[in-house]
Amino acid sequence: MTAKFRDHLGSALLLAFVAVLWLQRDYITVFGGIFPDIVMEIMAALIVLTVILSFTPYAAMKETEGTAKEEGEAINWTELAVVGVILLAWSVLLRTLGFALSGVLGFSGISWYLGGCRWEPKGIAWCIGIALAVTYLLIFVFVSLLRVPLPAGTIFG
Amino acid sequence: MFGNILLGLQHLASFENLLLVFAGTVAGMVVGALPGLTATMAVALLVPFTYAMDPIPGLVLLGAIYMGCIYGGAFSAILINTPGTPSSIGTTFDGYPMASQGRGEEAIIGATVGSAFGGIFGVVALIFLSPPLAAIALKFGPPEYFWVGVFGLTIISSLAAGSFLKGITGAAFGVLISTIGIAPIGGDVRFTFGLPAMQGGIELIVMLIGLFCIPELLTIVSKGIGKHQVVEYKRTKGVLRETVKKVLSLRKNLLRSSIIGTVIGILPGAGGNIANLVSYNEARRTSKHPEKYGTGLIDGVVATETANNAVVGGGMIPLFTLGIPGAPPDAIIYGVLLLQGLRPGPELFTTRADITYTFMLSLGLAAIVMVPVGIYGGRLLTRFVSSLPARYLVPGIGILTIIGSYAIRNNYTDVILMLLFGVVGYGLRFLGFQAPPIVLGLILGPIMEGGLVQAYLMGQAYSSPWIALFVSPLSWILIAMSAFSFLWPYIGPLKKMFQKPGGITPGGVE
Amino acid sequence: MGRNGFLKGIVAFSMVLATGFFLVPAQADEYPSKPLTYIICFNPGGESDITARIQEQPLQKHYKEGVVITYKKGGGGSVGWSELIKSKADGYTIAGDNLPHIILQPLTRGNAGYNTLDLKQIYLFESTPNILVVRKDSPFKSLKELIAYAKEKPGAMTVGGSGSSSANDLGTQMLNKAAGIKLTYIPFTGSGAAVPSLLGGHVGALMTYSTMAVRYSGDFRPLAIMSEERMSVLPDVPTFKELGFDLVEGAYRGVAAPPGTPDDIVKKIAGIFDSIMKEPGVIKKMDENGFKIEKMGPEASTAFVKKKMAEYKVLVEEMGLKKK
Repeated sequence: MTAKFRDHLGSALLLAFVAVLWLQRDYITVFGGIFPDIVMEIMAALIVLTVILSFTPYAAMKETEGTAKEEGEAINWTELAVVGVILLAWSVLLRTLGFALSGVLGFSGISWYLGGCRWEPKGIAWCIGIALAVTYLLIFVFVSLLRVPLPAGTIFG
Repeated sequence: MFGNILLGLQHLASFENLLLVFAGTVAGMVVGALPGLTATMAVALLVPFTYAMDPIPGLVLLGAIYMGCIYGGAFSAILINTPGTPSSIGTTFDGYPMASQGRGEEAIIGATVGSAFGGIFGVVALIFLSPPLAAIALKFGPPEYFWVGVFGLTIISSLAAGSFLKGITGAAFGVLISTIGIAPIGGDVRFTFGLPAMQGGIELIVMLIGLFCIPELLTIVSKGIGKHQVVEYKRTKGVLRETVKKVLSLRKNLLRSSIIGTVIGILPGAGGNIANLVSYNEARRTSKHPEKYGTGLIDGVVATETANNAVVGGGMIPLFTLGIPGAPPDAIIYGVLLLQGLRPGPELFTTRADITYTFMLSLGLAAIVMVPVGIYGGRLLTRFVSSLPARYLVPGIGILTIIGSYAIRNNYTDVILMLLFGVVGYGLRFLGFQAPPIVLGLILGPIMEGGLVQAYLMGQAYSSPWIALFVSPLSWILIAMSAFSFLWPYIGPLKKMFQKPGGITPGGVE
Repeated sequence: MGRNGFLKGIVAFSMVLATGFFLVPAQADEYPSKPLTYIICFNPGGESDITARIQEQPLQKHYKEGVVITYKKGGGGSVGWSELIKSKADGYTIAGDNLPHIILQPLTRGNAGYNTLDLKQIYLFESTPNILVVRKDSPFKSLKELIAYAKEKPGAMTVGGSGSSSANDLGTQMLNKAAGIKLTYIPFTGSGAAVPSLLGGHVGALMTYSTMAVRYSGDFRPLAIMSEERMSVLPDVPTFKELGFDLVEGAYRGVAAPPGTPDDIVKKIAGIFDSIMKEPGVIKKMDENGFKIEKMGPEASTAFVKKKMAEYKVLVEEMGLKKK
């Protein structure tokens, strides 16, 4: 991806965000709207400026820092996606399964996927064991010591 | 006054109080290090325990936890690029690069010494300079807060690695996100996408964890498990002494950061969240090698951690003198004071001096206790975290982020939002938008909006309501500071432009 | 059993552990036999929090299993209340609730996440009447002088308060209407934030809660209070009624339960709070801090809420606050 493409993609996405908010404008009082409107207008102007500058050599120079490291390194998309999905499922199921169960499942899931457990009883027991230990240690610290309630899970009533 | 200080020392020297300072500081450090748990939460959680105690031990415990917590945030900032508390956002800028280079221990030592120095400085200001400093706090009204917000935004020039334009756009993005929810003035329901759950807006912690932690997590995964290097922990002898000497030699940095922290702490509502960022900016601006900031320079860590611990003492100044909390944990401490029948004001410093001075001195003691505990514990922690293979590090951080984002408001939606911001943050980073300006926008948005609209209302008596923003001399000072801070990076090149031989000089051609 | 069985055993074991941790023992005992979860829908350190803290110790005497105070802030309380109505209606989860918030939010917001009457009223225990204060060195020595000034210069007199569409806001609008003046109301996020603005001279007056007037009695001069009678802790402050304005308004705080909570359990909880509010230690702390103790049980508080709903509906139409 060239710097110019990145600029355009980023600008398009952010502009879409501004548009989504702009369409939701529904202010009852004058005061609710003054500030967000100004900010949205400024942001839109900045985005347009970025796009304009992307066609000039000026912008290209500034792009070299920070993104260079992303180039030249292969990104493991599948692994990224799988871990992402596990995390997402974990947080969605948090409410129904409760912290303890989802924590054990999520932790051991990611750990196994990233190559932690061998396919034999000892390996898997080790895997789940660590997940159990970590999860329950955290439950102890938070629920018992700090008295911060962690989700109990709706399926448990 | 010195009689009172002696009195305070006497009370403090009791076994019970010393134990409480130690226990409180350690507990605070642990809580602060856990991402998602803020100092406010920590103090609030421990209030019930203080009922069974007399006022002095109860306050001593709360104070120690507060001080320890602000310091503890540095650990996760340095080790996993996640600010443990919002006051440590700036510590990630140089702390995490240092950890990635195997210099994590150095970073922690720097954070420790800085925090201790800043903490003590704040307490000294509290003890000796409360009345005049508190008077300054009152001068800040809505217009001034607006300009403070604007000033805060000018910091972006030092935060945005890369395009300044993208930094400001990112900040605008953050500001817009801060408007989601109920408008502070007028109570409008804004941008909730039709979901009542969004009426609470986006919580800062959720966004912090999402934008700072998750992208790092995903980066570790994306590099492929095999390639995640377990960073070699270089156990070099004498690192401790060397680093401590180095940090203590940064006298100007320490002093300036402490002052910034104390002053910002005094402003109710501005809080420690911005102090560390302003301090970082100033350190970078006045440094002889600004481009090294962000690559793992210990000066950066020292600047942020010194400032945020100075906020602890500074925030109590308006609390004790005027009864106005300077930072959210102070509001809770205020509640405890009220429940114990203590009224803020001159009374606290005279008739109830025994309680007040003991409390203030205990804060100073907590700052000192942090040093041995932090250095020893920090060493262990650094070794532990850097030796964890990805298959335990990733789920471990994952579980912590889920707890952290849930616990702040007991809200399931927050966890999902956190992940959403994580993915968005990862993508934005790829497109050139860094996290710090966005988070800065989120923090400053409410301050600016509140100030702006309140000032507008204040200006109803004038022909144009916006005049209210420009009336007071303090506003002018802040405007000048903002302009200066904004233009500073360009002054160098501008000067060069005018010095070119044979170029067009003002006042005439060659 | 072999290797497979071993594996299954581990998985089963962990599931049982996870389940058992949160399994509720059979309910054979009388209420209260489980810990009470007391939700505060605002920030720690605010009025609702302080009241809860005052009640916490006495509550522990009744709830032997413990009292857990949790915070669910957001949306001026709406996030917490919309969560409450979805919680288990077994009487072990209650939330502090506030008038006028619970009435005004559904009324003005279209969809606040809950309806006012979804919250089952248990008890209203205190109120903080609105009080109009100026600084001690202000030129206004009485309500009359302030009103005269406001008549001369409409819109120039700024009055700070906590929040929009709150008791402070309503109080100011009601005063505007009753006196025929135009005070500019400036909302701040919380009563704590409004105080420095008056102390620093950024606003001319505050329409705040009685608790603030007591706390800062050294710096403020109260002009009038919106209660039926003078408060004992502020004996020199005339009521608006005495001065000719029939204005009684303030914030009321109590506890509510999810809809569907059995009536007899609600009665039991109300009884517990009632006895707490009668304890001398509690009464003393509440009075000292400027709270006015109310003692409205389930029926009385529900009737009160309904009455206020009718009143506010009219006001909201007049003030044009309704979301179209």
